[in-house]
Amino acid sequence: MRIGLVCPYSWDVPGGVQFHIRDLAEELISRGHSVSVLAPADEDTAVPPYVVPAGRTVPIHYNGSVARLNFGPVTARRTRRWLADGAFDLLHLHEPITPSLGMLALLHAEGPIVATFHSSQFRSRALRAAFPLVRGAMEKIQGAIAVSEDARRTLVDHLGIDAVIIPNGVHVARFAEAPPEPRWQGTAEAPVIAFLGRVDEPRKGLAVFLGAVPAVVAAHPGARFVVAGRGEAGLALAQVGEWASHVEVVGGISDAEKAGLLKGCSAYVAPQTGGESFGIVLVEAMSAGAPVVASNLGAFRRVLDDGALGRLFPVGEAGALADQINAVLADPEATATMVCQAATGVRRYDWSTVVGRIMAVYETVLGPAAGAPSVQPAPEGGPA
Amino acid sequence: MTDHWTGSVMIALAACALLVTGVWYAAIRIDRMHRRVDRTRATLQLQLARRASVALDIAHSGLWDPVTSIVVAEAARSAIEAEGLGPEESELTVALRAALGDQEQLVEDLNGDDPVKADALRELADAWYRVELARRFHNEAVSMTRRLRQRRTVRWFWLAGRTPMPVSCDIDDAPPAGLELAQPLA
Repeated sequence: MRIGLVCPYSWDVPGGVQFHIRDLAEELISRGHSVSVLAPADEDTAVPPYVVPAGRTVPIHYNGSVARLNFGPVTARRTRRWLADGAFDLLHLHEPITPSLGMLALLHAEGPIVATFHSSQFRSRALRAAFPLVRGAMEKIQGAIAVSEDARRTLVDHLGIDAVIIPNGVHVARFAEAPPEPRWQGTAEAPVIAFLGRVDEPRKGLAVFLGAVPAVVAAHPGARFVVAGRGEAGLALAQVGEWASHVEVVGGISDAEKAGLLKGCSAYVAPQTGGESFGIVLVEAMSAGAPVVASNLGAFRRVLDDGALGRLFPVGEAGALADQINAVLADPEATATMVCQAATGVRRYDWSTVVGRIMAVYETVLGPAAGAPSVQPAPEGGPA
Repeated sequence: MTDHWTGSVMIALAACALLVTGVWYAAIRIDRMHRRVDRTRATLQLQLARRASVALDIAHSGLWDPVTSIVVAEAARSAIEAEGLGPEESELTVALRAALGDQEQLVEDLNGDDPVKADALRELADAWYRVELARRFHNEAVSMTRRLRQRRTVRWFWLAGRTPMPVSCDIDDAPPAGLELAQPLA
């Protein structure tokens, strides 16, 4: 199958959507499909052979933060040329409601079109402004995918579009088979409790994590708290005071180190206080066999199957977090059962499952008809 | 005076052009949606037929006890004969859910040491998932079309012609818990 993927955000900037599109493209190629990714990127950026750069991006204030977007007549022309040259059987857009390449491609294409919606945080002002202009174009999306229940709810509430839920993929085996990192290998005497995420972004919950230190150390005097993630941790660290010797701040770590940390740690804690639509790190931790303790956010509750695959604590409550960490450490047998169930549960997030589901969406949209219509540039001046 | 005339005529012409373009666009959209509804309905019927035929194969293969096999085979046969989007499909769903058992049983069968059973269940899981997709996409197309057809441009200019108003398909296609854990077909 010839598949055209459209990435809305700059390829040079790392981000969840970009990683998802990269992994999806590589999985599809490994199954023998022909894939081209249209992505915002400068001409001189090094990109994989399957990426077609759509030109430089412009930093724009959009949806409450600065996004690097791609628009204007030059981009539109390139998009039309990419559509014509690609002769795709199917077009798969990402975030077509963001005013960038995804929306442009939707306006300029005709034929079998699938779209994935990632965000659950549309600002309604931006959306209300954009929606009347693209409502007609939205009718061209023949298969809508949301990456989480939260993302789906946003779509239904704001756009009146329903979607099937297909979560982001994780390479489960890469975490399950990762060698534990010796520096952070937890033992019965010195259990390692791990935190991953930006340390200076309050909603990632480092303060909650560190607030649990005293009560855990009281029960497990050898406990080590490993804090991995970019940013300036000074402010949050000041609160640990006399327990500072139990906390190790290791800064940003590589993907391999992350897998090793999750593999060897005695518990992974996700103390986020909000703004999470999915929780991919929880899935990675479960894949690595780490017991998970997470705040009681909707997205986390769903990933942890309401507490069957990991322990939950009320958002922001360090005392409750400490109780749950102590429970994980105190009852190895129950923890082993939970980890074992989690290992089965994460299968639905493995790329092999996720690509199978996405292919099923493609095939459902293409339908049974032989010689089904393929993607073409829409006639100029026609309705969106 | 003539200038006024020309001006008025120009404005009237522009308004007419705008109206014609608006109606033209609406006609294209309604036609696009009608074709999409036909396509998604055909796909849904095909996927339902495939699920019924996979269920019938399993019922004939001896993987289930005779009572279960007879009930499922009967439900599958009625669904295949009905060829529609009617209550037979929901009845097959109910029969299959009972035949597959609870999540514990299902996960055990999917991972068990009987590869024939596991493969048959994977095939069923795949067919079932495609039914869910096809129904979701069909109903989405139906609701978009219905919304579009309520617009004044569409009603006043009779753009929908004689095409009957599409209706959504509300069969029960909820899979049993645990079926989503089946490994996908290669």
